Amino acid sequence: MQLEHTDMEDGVRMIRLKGRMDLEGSEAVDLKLTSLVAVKKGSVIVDLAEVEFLSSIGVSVIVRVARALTSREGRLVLLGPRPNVADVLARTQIDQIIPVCGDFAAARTALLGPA
Amino acid sequence: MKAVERDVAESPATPGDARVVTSRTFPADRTAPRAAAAWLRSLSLGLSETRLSDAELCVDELVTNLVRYAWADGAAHALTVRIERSPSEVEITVEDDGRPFDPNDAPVAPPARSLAEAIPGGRGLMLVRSIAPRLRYERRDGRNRVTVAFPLEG
Repeated sequence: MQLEHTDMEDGVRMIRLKGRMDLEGSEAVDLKLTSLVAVKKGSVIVDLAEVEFLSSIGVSVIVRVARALTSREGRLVLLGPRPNVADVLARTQIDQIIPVCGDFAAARTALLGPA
Repeated sequence: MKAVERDVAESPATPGDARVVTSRTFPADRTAPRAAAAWLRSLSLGLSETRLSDAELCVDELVTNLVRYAWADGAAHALTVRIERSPSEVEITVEDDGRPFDPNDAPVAPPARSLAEAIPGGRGLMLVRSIAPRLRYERRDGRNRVTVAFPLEG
């Protein structure tokens, strides 16, 4: 599983995940992802478009980093999950507690409010 | 135990019997969920993409659960995934020699209402049960067998 990030001018950090977020994949990105969201009052978009599979272990990692960010007054939104990944977010009802956005503009609005 | 994958393909019991059974044994380590899911995908089972995705998720979750919790002795173990295809459905059985565990008995926490009260873990069996509300469980000859079925189209 791969992970890359970009910091945008408005302070939003975009993290792109790529690969299978199963037991192996989640373990591979867990530490890096945790350190990348360790920003005070940060706004983070986690782009899931290239995540081909998400299991409960991956959900656990997402919940943990989102909680850590929220405890520092930051926010995390999820962007562009594929249908099977969106299905997992819906079945676990994670989409009720972490915003899931279909496109980049919606993700930024969810984080920063209307432009 | 040496880390090997083993395939067993069984022929139909009688000519004209449309059931096809195949199984593979995996070393019960961190690589098992991905290996089992990839093997499932490599078979031409005739499931729709949605049902194949559901089946893949169930196999991943059941195998992940075993790898993490079924054994406490630190020794190497193996688990077997068995697939039986009939004209109407595909049955997938995950079999292990770990501690007795019926996933139907596992408590499922209510969904969190906020991120603050969300616990990070414990969603694997919830996912499996949301896809397959009733899992068939058997404990026989010191082994757990959990079976989930997926209907074929038509």
